[in-house]
Amino acid sequence: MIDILNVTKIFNGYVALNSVSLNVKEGELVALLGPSGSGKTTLLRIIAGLERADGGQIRFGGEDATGLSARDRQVGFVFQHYALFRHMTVFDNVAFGLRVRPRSTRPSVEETRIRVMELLDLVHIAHLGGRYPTQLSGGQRQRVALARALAIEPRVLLLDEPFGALDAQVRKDLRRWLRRLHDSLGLTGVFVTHDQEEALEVADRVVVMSQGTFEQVGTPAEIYDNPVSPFVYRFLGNVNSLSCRVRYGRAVGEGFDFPAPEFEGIRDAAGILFVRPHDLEITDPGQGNSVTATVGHQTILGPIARVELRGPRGEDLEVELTRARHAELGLEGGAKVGIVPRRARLFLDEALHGAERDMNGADIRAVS
Amino acid sequence: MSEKPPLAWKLQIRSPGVLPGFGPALGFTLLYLGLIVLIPLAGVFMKTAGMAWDDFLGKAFSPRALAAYRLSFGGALIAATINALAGVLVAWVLVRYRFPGKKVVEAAVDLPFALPTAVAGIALTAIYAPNGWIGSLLAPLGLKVAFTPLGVVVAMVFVGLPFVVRTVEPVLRDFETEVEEAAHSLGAGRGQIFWRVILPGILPAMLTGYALAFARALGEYGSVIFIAGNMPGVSEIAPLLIIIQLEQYDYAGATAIASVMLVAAFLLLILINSLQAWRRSRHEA
Repeated sequence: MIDILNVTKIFNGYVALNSVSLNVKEGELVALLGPSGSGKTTLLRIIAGLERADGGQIRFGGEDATGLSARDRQVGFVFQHYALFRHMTVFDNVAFGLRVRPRSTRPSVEETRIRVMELLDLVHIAHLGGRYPTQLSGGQRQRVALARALAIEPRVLLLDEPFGALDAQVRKDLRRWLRRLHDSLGLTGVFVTHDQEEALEVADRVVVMSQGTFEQVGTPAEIYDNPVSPFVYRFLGNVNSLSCRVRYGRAVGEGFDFPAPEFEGIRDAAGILFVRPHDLEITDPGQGNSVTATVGHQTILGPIARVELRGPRGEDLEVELTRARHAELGLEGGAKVGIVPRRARLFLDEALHGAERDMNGADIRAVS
Repeated sequence: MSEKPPLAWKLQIRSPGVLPGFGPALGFTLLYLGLIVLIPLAGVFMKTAGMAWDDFLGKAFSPRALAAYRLSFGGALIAATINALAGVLVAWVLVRYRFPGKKVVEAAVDLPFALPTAVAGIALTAIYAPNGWIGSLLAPLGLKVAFTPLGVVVAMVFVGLPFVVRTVEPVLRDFETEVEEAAHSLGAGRGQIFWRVILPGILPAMLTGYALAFARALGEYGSVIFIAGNMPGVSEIAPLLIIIQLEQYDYAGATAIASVMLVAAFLLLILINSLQAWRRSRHEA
């Protein structure tokens, strides 16, 4: 449906997008995920026609849309800060896209009213039609912005940080609701976010971006389970890193020695073992394959407990345990414990510096 | 708890917010306005009140005075309207475009504020007189500016220009480009974006500027009398008529005309302000 072909964008000598390509399929919801400055919003704006690419092509349904202005692209764009028309009621905001049509295709007053009421109903704010945007809450404004974008029957729906400005609870409700809405309307959509949880929960496919390039493209499960680079691994959640040496298919570090068959051919190289906090287990110190660490601060976060530790080389480590397990362990600050990775991912050190891109890293299954 | 609410409760007209000192602040405001504005104006009415009713009507609504009101109010309304339209355009150019010499243009906008009005009057007269730069170009077309009511409007436009520019400019500068982009992506053309989105957004500021420019034009004396020619009944403005009465030691006559102007100006400004308040109430109620 949307083809992005080698799109490049340069702002005053700064490469915001470096020849990126992506195909968004009909009915798919794609998340552009990345830190600020990674070019995700720029790409969204180029798809919308609000920004012009310095190179490459945008196609909608096979037709070249590169030269079309935003006005002619028939895209629904939802802005991060909603960009509602403050002097118009909610009803008039939603009706705007219908009323500015050329006379020949403009719906009648009655048709407009019916269409707008349908849309307000769809986003559950039918009772707020007469209000002005300043009288609404953030979540309600977001819904108005969405209804307004849907009014023009867009071929593509584009959302820039759609939940960025909302508080946690509203955010959660709204994104589930958006996912359901998307499924029921069968729209093709792209949204920008810097929140990995949001991307993984809502999108069919996630594009992880960094410094104007795509780091990885895949389904949420693929991205989470097989991150191709240390950047993606780090960006998708909290992470512990343990430095080690990779020698003939083994990762050897302070207190551990794991098999790493994918790296069979490497004689001796610096490597880094990444472990998610919930993939670490706490045991007695000095048992088999375990890293000795000192217990530091402990925090209870609802259903889980987070334990901060100091590793053998002074590195900060973090372990997440269930409350039951935490209670069972009865850890005390300053105590020496052993920590064992249940599941980890090994990257060679060059991959960290981006030198060896195709060295994708490999999963390590710890056997203790 | 207590049967009677404390006195402070009953006196509290509106909640004072986080900053203390509602009482003293309001008191000072009223005192200040009283000393600077209300007492001198009350003097005008006091003086007028000494006149017999017929005498007042005769002085305040003589044919010569009526013609002067017409010119003063009509001219001020026309000048403010011209300034509102041109001012928005100037503000637009200053906010949206970059061009060499922009700083100079910015400063030039404020010049009518700084210039002694007599200087402005003399300069305008020199330019618009039949033998002046612009006057000599207009003369063959049969257009006379200096020493006609048209000249009065020109002088009023001159002194009122900065008001609309300076009230609209910051609003336009704060106008989110996202809102325009939203309109654009919803299919609106440039004209539609301006008329339906931008103009309603700057209208309150434009109205404020309009009211200020109008008030300024109405009270303008220095620059107008040089270019007006001051023919009784034709190009004589009300403030000049007041001065003429004073020079003839007819204080009552002067205050009679002054009080009519005051009341009319006050009513017009209230009208403009309430128009704005009404607009604002529609978005923020």
